[in-house]
Amino acid sequence: MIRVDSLVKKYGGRAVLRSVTFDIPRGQVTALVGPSGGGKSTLLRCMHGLEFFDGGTVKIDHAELTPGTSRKNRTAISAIRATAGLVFQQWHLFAHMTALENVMEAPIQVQGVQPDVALRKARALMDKVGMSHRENALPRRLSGGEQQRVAIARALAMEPKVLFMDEPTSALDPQRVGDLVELLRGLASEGLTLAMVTHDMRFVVDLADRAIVLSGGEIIEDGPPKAMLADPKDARTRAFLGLD
Amino acid sequence: MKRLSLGIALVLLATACGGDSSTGSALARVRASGVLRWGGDVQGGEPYAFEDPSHPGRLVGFEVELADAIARELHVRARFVQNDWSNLVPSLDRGSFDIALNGLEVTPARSGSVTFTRPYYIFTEYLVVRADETRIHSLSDLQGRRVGTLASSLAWDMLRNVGADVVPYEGVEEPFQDLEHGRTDAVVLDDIIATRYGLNRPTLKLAAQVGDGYYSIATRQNDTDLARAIDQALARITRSGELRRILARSHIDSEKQARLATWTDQDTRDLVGTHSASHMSGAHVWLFIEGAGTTLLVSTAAMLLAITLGLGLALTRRYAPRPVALLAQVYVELFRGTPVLLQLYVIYFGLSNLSPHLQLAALPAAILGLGLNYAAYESEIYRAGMDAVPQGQMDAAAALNMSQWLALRRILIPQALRVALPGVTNDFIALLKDSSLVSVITVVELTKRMTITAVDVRSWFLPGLLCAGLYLAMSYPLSRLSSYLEKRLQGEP
Ligand SMILES: Nc1ncnc2c1ncn2[C@@H]1O[C@H](COP(=O)(O)OP(=O)(O)O)[C@@H](O)[C@H]1O
Ligand SMILES: [Mg+2]
Repeated sequence: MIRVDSLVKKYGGRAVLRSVTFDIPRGQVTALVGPSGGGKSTLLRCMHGLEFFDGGTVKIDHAELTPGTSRKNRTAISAIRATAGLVFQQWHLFAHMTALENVMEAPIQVQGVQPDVALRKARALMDKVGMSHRENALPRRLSGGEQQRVAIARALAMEPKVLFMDEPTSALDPQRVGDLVELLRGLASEGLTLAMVTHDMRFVVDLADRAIVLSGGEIIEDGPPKAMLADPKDARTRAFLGLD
Repeated sequence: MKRLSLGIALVLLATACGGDSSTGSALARVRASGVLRWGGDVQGGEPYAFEDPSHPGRLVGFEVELADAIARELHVRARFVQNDWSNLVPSLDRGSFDIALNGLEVTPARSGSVTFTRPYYIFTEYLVVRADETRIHSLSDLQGRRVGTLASSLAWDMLRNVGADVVPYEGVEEPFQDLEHGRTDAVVLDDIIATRYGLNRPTLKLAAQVGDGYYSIATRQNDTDLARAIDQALARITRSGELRRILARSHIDSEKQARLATWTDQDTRDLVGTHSASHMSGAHVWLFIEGAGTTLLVSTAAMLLAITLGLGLALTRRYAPRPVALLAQVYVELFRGTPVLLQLYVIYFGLSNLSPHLQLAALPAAILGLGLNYAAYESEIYRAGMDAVPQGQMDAAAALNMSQWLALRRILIPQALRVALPGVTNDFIALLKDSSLVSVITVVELTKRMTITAVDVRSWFLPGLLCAGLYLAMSYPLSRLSSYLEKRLQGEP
């Protein structure tokens, strides 16, 4: 489903991602973990075409993204975004639209879905994420957890096969994290491929099939979370997990 | 200068309430100070009172010689006081100078507000048309036609009486230039102006002489002794032949001026006796409302243009390739860095000089001029509004596969406009008032209507009050809207 090959990203000459390579098969729930500043968010942004990168390729489904701004690349970005949704760490709900309008906006404007069809689908999604009661609220009236649920519904409205999430637990209290795990489990069971950036190992153990540890722009460890937690191979993983 | 008119009206209002501040005889004051202050406008140009081109700073002209001659007769010195021509009478009333001596025509309206001496020049009203004109031979042919002249002049009254569509100008070049370009069908102005600024153009010709008029010296109505002393001084200068020598030196002497030598006090009384007893009437109020309508039309249309163009400029500066973005920046700096009055002049008079295809009617030129100018300001407001929208909003739009243009249209612009709205509303209020500037390109809007009416009814009080009231009625709802929007923006839903 997803193949990242030798991805290199530099900011002003400094390599933030140094030849990152991994595969994610369809339906897998993958966690990208690692210390802050390790390049996790940058990796997600590169994979979604929000940042240009300097080397390697990103392939999602049939679309392949390479460095540069060619027309072919722009087509690839558009195809990737049609396949994969992205939920930002700060959600970035459209501030001038209600929760429901946020969910309906892209299906109508981008996919050309009829407004009444989009409305019905948006209502169903709001119900699914447990936000039906706040559908007419503006984003600034919603709590962090509520905004996140709307952001998930907004991404799902585009019917993606893959969902990327950046730090989904950072603004949630433990109770809400439990709710989120349940929601995402349900989505995964429906066949959605999930890739989440996080440094919350409890969350990872509860939800993910696999953890990829990113540190200093490199993958230093890759495997099932429980095994990794029990016996991390790399010293930096041990440090990150706080086992030393 | 136009914006000052309202201010002057209010100052006059205050002095009118306070009564005449001068104490004692005006003549005694002049004698005691040894100086006769005379008001005029050097911009009236040659041959009246103007700066000597070869000695900048030195004043010459037949009225300068006349003022000196009169002062000599009174055994005092003459001192020139520069004053905007259209406000000579109000400034005289205020006491800025002792007499107004600057091509002031004796009109019924003026006769009611000042005391005129005997005339010092007899002029002829010239009807000037294009050289190929065949329809216009006399005043009566002007009914319903667009005819240019100076506002509040004798010709202005004549033209209104024959039912012409009178176009008011403030300068002496522009009426003839517009006539050449076909913006008007004729110009009626006195022979001095017409020969110097109109008939020297091969494209124009004299169609008819349509009446005589008189230049006189104006004094305040209460300064009867000064008026009398100056009248007698002028009589002596006239009879001695000195006046005609002065006129001859400026090449404006003619046989017709012989009448001045035999001029009697009775002639003066006959000349100034025909006061027009015009008062503010329902018809005036209607004209004011029409003026307010023009103000509203010009400002609204200009604002719409400014909003649209401003948005385009702001987007160009943010998203266009660098050279194009730079052009937009140059536009903004250019239009913010030069006076809007100059821009109006260039668009209305300047462009039509370049090519007849670029010739705009006054109203579109006014809208275009103000709109282009305000667009520069609006674009800066939008830029600030766009900067206030977090980058994440555009990232989220991109992640949802929105194209850049779609994201701009649906996400960035609506949010930026919300931030910009109070500023835009404030600018609209400013534009409403700035729109009075368009009277320099012959659009009669509210302020111009007030100055015309004030001369007509010989008072600034009611016209000023009505004018201020109408401006307030237009701007107050806007200022309420602006503060409401500001509150809303501060966080309430
Ligand atoms: N726009 C940017 N410009 C320059 N450096 C950046 C930018 N974004 C991220 N970085 C740098 O890249 C590195 C990785 O950042 P990030 O991907 O946000 O890490 P993580 O999400 O793992 O905490 C950090 O050192 C960060 O400072
Ligand atoms: Mg991050």
